[in-house]
Amino acid sequence: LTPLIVGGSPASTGKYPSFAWPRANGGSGGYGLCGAVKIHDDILLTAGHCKTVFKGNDVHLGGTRRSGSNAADTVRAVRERRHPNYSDITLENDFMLVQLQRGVATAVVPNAPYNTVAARPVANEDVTVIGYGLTSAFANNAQVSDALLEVDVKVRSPASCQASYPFEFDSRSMLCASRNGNDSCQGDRCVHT
Amino acid sequence: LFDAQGTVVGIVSWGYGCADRRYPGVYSKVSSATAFIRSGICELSATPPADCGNDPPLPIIGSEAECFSNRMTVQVKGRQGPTRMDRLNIGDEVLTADGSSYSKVYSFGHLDRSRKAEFLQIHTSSSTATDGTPNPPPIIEITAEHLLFLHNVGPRPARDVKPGDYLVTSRQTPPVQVKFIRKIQRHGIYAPLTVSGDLLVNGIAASNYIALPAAFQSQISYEQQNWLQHVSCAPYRFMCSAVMIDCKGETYDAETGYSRVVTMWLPLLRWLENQNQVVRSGILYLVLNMAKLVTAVVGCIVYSRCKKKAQTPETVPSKC
Repeated sequence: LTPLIVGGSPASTGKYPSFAWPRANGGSGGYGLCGAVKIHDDILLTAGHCKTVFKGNDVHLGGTRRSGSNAADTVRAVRERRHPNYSDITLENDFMLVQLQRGVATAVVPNAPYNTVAARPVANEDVTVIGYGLTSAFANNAQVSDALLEVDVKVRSPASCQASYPFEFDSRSMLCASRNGNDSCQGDRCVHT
Repeated sequence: LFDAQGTVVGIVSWGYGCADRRYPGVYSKVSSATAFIRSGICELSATPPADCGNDPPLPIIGSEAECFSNRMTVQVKGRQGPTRMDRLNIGDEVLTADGSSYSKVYSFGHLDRSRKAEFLQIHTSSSTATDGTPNPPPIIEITAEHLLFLHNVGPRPARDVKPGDYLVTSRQTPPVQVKFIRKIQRHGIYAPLTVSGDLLVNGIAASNYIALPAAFQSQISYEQQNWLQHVSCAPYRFMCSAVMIDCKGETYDAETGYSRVVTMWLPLLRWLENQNQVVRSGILYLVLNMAKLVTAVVGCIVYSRCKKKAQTPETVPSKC
C-alpha cells in the first residue's frame, strides 16, 4: 500500500516547475519518495502519509534531478500540518501542508494551481502522475531514480474504482487512475502507485 | 497528479501492485480538501493571501449522535470476513460480545448515511491470534456517549475511557489496552440494535446503548442505564424479532437520523431529565424495580414451562 512510481519516462526540464521533494528521503526498502507541489510562497501540498518526511529537512524545488543539481531553490521545511480527518488505516483525506522557512518567489518557482472543482477531473480524463520512483518493481535490487519521471494515466469513474477496491476506496476523498490497456506490470516499464 | 492544464488534481496515495486496470493507482482528491488547503495556507503562511479571513466558518457538526462510524466492522453470520457498518442490514445476525453467539440486528436506533459527526477513535494494543500471528490493532470509532465495557469495571461511556484502560473484547479473547484516543470526523452514523443488546465492533465489545443525560448520573449506575435502555427497547424488539415482523421498512427522522421508535422515547427522557431530583429518583426507583419484578415473573413462567417440557421425553429442552 505504499505509493511509488516504477518506470515511467523522464520528465522534460521545466515541465513541472512547482514540484518539490525533501533532500534526505527514505527512498530505500521498496518505498517511493514523497513529493510535493508548491501552492503558495512558503507552502507545499503533499500526502498525509508523508508526515515527518519533510519537517526539518531541506527541500529541493523545481528541477528534474533528485540530487537537486538543477533545482531552482532549496529551503528548509519547518512545519507540517496533516489533514485532521486523515486516517492511517484507510488513508482517507491523505493530505498534508508543509511550511517552508522562507517564501520562494513565483518568478523562481511558480505556484501550481490546485483543483477546487468537485466535478473535475472527469472519468477518462488524461492526467499525468510525476515523481521520483524506483527503476525496478523488485525492491531488493531497485535503485531510486535520479530523474523525475512522468507517466500518463486515465482517470477512472468512482464506480469503477469502487469495483476494484470495494472496501478501501472512498469516493469522497479519493480518485483512481490507471494506464490504458490491460498491461499488468510485467517487464520494466510499470507504474507502481 | 496533474491534469492537461497543469492543475494539481490528485496526490499519490496508495494502490496494489501496478496501476493496471484491475488495481488502479489511488490518489487523494484535491477538490475534497479545498477548505483544509485554504485555511492551512491562511494559518501557516508567513505571507498569507490578502483574502484570508473572508471565508465563512466551517459548519459545526452535531455532537448528539450516538453511534459507530461507517468504517467499523462486525462479523455477520454466513459472511466471509468483516462487514462494514454501511453494508449491514436489518435481519443480519452479528457476532455478540460473548464471541461465539450471533444476534439479529432488528433495528437501527440511529442511521444517517451522509451526516457528519464527531467520533472518538480509540487505538488499542495489538492482540495476538491463537496461531501466533499478530492481528491488526483493534481500533474503534465511537461517539462519546456510547457505552463500552471496561475490563473489571463494567459499562462506561467512550468519553470516560483513558489510555491504559482495558477494554473487554469477547469471552474468547483477552481485553486490549487503550494506547491513545483522538477525535475524528466522519460522514455516516450507524447504531445497530441487536436482540442481545451488545455486539463486537472491530473485535471490541460494545453496548447498543448510551449514557443517559448528566441529570441521571448521580442516581443510577451505567449498568442500570444500559439495562434500562435494553428493557425500554423490549416491546419494539419483540415486535421486530420474536413476532417475525420485519422492521426493514422502519424510517428515520430526516433531521436527526434517529429511528421513529427512539424518537418516541426521547420526550419521556427529556421530561424525566427536567424533573427535580427527588421525583426523578422516585420514578427511576419504581421503574427499575418494576422492571426487575416483571423480568423475574416472566423468567419464572418461562422456566417452569421449560421444565415441564423438559420432563416430556420427546421435547428438546435446549429450545428454552
